[in-house]
Amino acid sequence: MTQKYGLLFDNYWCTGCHSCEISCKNEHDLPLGQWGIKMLELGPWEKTEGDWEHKYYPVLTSYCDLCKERTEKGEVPACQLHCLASAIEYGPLDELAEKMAERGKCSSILIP
Amino acid sequence: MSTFIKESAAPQKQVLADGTEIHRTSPWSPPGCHGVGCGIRAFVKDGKIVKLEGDPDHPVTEGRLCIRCLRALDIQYHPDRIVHPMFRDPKDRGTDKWKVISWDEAYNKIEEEIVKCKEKYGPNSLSVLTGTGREAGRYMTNTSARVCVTTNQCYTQSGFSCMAPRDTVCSMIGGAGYIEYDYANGLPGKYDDPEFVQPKYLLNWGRDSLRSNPDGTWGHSIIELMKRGTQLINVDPRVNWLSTRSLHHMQLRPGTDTALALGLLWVVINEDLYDHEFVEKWCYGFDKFKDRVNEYSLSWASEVTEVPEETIRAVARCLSEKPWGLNMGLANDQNPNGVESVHCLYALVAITGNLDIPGGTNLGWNITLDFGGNEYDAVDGVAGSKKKESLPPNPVTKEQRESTIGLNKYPIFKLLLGKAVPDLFLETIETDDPYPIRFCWILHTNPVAPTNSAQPMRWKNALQRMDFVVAQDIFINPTIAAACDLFLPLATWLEHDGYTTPLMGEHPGPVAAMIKVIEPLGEAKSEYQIIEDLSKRPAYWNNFHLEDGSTKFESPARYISEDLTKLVMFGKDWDYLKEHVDVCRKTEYRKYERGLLRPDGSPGFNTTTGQIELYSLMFASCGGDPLPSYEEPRFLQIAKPEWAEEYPLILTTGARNWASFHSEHRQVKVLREIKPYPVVEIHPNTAAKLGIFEGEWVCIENPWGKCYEKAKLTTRLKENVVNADHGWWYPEEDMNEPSLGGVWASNINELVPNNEIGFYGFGAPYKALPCKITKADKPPITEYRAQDLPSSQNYPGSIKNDAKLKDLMR
Repeated sequence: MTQKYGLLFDNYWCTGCHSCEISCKNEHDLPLGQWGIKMLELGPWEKTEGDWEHKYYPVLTSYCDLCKERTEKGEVPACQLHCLASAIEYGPLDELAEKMAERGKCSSILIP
Repeated sequence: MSTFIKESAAPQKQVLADGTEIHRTSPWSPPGCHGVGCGIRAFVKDGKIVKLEGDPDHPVTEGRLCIRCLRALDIQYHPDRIVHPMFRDPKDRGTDKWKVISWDEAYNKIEEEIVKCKEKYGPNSLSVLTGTGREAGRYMTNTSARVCVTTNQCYTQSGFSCMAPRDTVCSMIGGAGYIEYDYANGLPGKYDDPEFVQPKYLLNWGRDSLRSNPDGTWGHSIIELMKRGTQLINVDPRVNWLSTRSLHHMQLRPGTDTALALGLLWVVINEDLYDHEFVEKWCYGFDKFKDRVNEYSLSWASEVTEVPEETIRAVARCLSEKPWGLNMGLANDQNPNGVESVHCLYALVAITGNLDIPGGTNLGWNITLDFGGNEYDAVDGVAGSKKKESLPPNPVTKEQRESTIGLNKYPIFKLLLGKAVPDLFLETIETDDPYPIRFCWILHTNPVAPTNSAQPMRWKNALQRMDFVVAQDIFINPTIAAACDLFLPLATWLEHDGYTTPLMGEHPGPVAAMIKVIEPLGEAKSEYQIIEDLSKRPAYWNNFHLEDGSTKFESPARYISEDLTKLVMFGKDWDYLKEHVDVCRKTEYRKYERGLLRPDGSPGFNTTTGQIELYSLMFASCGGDPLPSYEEPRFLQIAKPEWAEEYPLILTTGARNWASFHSEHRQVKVLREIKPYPVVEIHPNTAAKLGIFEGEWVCIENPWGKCYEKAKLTTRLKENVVNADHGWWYPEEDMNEPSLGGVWASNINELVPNNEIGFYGFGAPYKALPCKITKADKPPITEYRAQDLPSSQNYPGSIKNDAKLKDLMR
């Protein structure tokens, strides 16, 4: 079976900057109102005093091709390059899963 | 000063097989941003920029880029961008009766109007206005002192409430530049450099760095530090995202920063948590300072700020552990009591021994970049001025300096800034008292929208009293639509050469080259080029040229090289910078021990006593209190109980968002999709009492004015605090009077008073005002989906009316 690739997101450190959304829009020349990657917001709400839930979860749409053209040239996907918090990583799924396990919390791996 | 480069970086320019050029460069303005100098790769095909992306070779940003730059081409090639000079008869202000003129006609007009104004109203009857953090600041003194020959240069924000208060206090107390947390940006190995020590804590005080990259500091360095183990202590009336990731969040009552800082100092001093050796060796007046702090108490601070005693105590104990960095924000400036909060925070860094140590809080170099109007300017070798630029002393007279609006009342302005005091300047242009000012030159700012001014309607009316107003910008904005007569189209940061330095050049890290990657569109010119053109005219020749005919304004390369070698102590010229794009100045720690701060080369600080003056002789010499004290916010419930029933909520403004730089970027549909309309954040319980639902338009009102924004319900704020967006206008609305691009619909600064400033003329209450909120009966403007946003603008000098440029439009 050929190796599958995906994106690993660090949802603890994602600051919600929208750079993934817009750089993807640039890369794939997507129209207004449509997205290749869209950031969803969880919270903020207060669980117990002083302890807050507030996270951003970028999700992939069917426009996402993991920046095939870029990765074939040895470049990283546009969302990874521009992410201000360096919270996105492209790679083979098994490697990403290992990294996710190492991190141990608040991460997601997505394939389009 | 030693510098280093990234050896493995790609060349400045590469050419691909299909002829596409890739240029490494960095942005500043226009469009506006703080000059971080983030790394950019611009792809140019057949003379058109086809793509922008982050430059992985930038030593700090490493390819990361925010959405404003990711969509910069929407501005570069926007149909409504103005690329030809335009003139409108002053009697037609507020209408769209502009006509295209040539640059020669524009310069002739300027020269003629300057002469006319001086003859009619006197030598200082001209003024130059500037805004926040843009490259225009580099050229303001040249425009005011050498072309207009006036000293009335004004930054229009009430209380000069941006950077100058913080920077000035640093000069007054420490005799050096701004203090900023260490994020290893001036070390070749960055966070892994052997010289660096991981900070234990970062004290983040009223600064939303992630969105603003404040004052040129890379905001997401906070995330890098935290990923490596630094713990965050956040001071903010909002539970913002950073607060949810912090060890301690101090959710203070807006405007009570000084009380909180005094509370922390009280614990540090009374629990004996300070660095005795540092205090003895390097601090002046500690005993008096301590006595002042002891006039307050922890319980008092807790009551005033609404931050629990145990939190203040716990934070103070953290701050006794070295090293920690201070990230001190705009909230300290936008407060009439802000000079005092900065004084306290500086003292907190100093007495805990965290000043200029690895991983602590770096002391800035004492570099004055082209402020140029203070009384030492053009006096060789005095104070901070050791300028050896190829420019003659500027021709303003001593009488002019002394008559600059407000300097006699506010000595720090006279001593360090040499600019008009904004609050008094506004009164002068409204009343002609003490003398008329009837010519105004606006350098890439928008005081009516507003970027920063208080009570913008007053600014608009006052500007309309001028005989002649010139503006340089890239779009017609509400200020220009209302009051300007001559429009000079600016080249963007992709169309001219320049450079950026973090924190006004005072701090280490990358000096970045901003490189012209294409010729300016149409007839646009850079701010530099406008001055160079004017310097060649006989009327201004002697103001720019030395006797042998040489001048710094010979070319952009010479101008930048002289700045780099003679002002920012960089030691390398433009050719070198341009070749390498990013050249880092190395961090130097413990400069006070190494004789790097004083002109005589001896150890110590560059103050009268050679120490950090906790008891400030400079404040005393300016007639003020040498020690910090607390002032209750002037208009909130405690100071103004008679207003509390009518205006029960506390209004805080000025928080930044990802999609705009103050009043800019509203023309870009993709960015309007991210941030379509201004919002005011309200606690759901408060909204429920007022019958307000999510997304509804509401009216925000206080004794000074009212405006409309959309309600966003969130528990991030306390029930009695609301947080409203600033800088909103609507380019899709009618640009003529009275609409002016819908500028009065959501103008939150109409609720901010002028001339409610601190003792030294610094700090206005942008972040602590009373208000009430009611449901709006109808939207104040027409709402559109981003993709349907229309443009009613049709200016003759715009891209869409230039047959040669039409094809470039986005």
